Amino acid sequence: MANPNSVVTRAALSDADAELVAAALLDRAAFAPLYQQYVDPVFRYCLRRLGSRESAEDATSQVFTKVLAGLPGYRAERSSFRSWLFAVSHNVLVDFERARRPQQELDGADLIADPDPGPEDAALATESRREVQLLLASVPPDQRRVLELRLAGLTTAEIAQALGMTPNAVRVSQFRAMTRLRLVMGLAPHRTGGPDA
Amino acid sequence: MPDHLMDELDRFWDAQLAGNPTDALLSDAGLGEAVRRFHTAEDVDRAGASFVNRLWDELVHAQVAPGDASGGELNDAMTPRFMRPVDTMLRHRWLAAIAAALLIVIVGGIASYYVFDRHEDKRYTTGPAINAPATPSPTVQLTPATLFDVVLPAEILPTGDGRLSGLVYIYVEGGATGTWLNSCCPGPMIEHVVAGEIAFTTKAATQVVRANGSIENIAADTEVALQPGDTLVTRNEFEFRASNIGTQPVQMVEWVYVSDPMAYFAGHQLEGWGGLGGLDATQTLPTFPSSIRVTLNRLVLEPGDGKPPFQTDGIRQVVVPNVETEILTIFGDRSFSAVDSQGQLTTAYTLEVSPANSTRDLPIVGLPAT
Repeated sequence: MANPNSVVTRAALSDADAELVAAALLDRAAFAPLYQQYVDPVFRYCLRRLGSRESAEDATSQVFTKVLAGLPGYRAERSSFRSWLFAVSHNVLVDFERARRPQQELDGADLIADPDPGPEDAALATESRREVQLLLASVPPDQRRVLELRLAGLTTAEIAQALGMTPNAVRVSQFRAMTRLRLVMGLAPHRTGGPDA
Repeated sequence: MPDHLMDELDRFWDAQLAGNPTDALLSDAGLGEAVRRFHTAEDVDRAGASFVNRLWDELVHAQVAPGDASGGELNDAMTPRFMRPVDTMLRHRWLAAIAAALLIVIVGGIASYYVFDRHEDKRYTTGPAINAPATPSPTVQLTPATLFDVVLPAEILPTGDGRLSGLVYIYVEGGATGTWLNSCCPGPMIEHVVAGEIAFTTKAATQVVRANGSIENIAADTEVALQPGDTLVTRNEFEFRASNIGTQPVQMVEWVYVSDPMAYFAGHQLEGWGGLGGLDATQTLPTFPSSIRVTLNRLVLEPGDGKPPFQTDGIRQVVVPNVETEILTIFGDRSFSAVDSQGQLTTAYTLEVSPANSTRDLPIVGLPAT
């Protein structure tokens, strides 16, 4: 067995997360590092899906409440904490979206207006988010789900676990999506090293 | 569909997210550029600090029942209530230390420690028992002070992207003796004694900055005793033995600045080392092209008192001696303030690192890597 009196380890991120989950099962306050690490990615994921900060905050609150409540059921050997966290997030968002349809679908930029537009320094953020939303709106929903989790920092394997897809299905979706987005962005198709794609 | 491009894109994206080189992974430059633009456009719109703090406050105080996390309806008891709209708190980042210690008990060893020290050590084949917190009631005089203020030369500092800076407040049980073995993650380390008396014997030459400011060079394999105010200047990769040579817990502030892309910091955990001291670690660090100034301060804070943001070309970390009674709100810009813990004062230790531009009068200490 390796020396356990370590100050710094090279554990993989998922191992570190699993350790913190184990600690949080005994003391909820021990969840703090995981919360600090993931609250912002989850919030942004929710904001991207829901379009308003208020809704995103509500959804983020539900995600972390559910995650804390569900920690005893988390199994590190099955999935990384991150993929499990975003699976919970995805499910919460599905409920949110189901509850408010058909009033607010994320199929166009005109539907992403932030109800709290804020001061000038928020303008750039809003504009940038609008750009991403426009890009996301240009691909089918199944591909959009994959891209949203890519934006959240998940790997192919983690996206597959979070969305209940096979890794190959994730690869296909992201390839199709990025091929489409490349055209939307005005980037030329691949022309090096062989026939045109 | 070109399968090779699909696989290349997959590897490219995973590598990019992991911060690894992507240059040779994708033969279609346009796809790679599309991924980059997609992420660049996204990198805005963070959760508000007040929301983050408020939600955490609700989460740690809510009565959350164990249950399903699959995404169904929330019941009322599980819904955050946001009862305190302002002035919320974020507990100090001490929990990684306890998490690491708890895991030793729970799974007895753990792969997370595995790579850190590849040497088999029969003395620890079952993992040490978790130490009952040697903590509490600090008898240290609560006076604000600059405890340590030196320059570390550039040549002894870690470089590159995989750097980590970690600060932790440690208690060492009376009479405890432990050995820290050679490890990965080279870089400077300091141990500043706040209370008690502790002796270090290190396998390499070290230095001690005494409370009066004098500097002693300590030869390898030579025991040196430290008293309150003294600071051992060593390196994380140096093997050492430490003994609490008194009967009362030793209290120390430990700082490491090391290099390892996959590192995370849990504080040294020798036999008898532990307690409820805070921990603060970060891998979000500026580049230091030259020497650095390292300053350790003790602050005594009234409720609401704190520090403004630190300079962006430096590092500030902060710990408290007892995370159960001393709570700080720490913001992303490294400003912080003390939370009112029933009207009590909060003691905080800040470690600040900044470029040593105009610090000619400060002592220069530090040891090269071996």
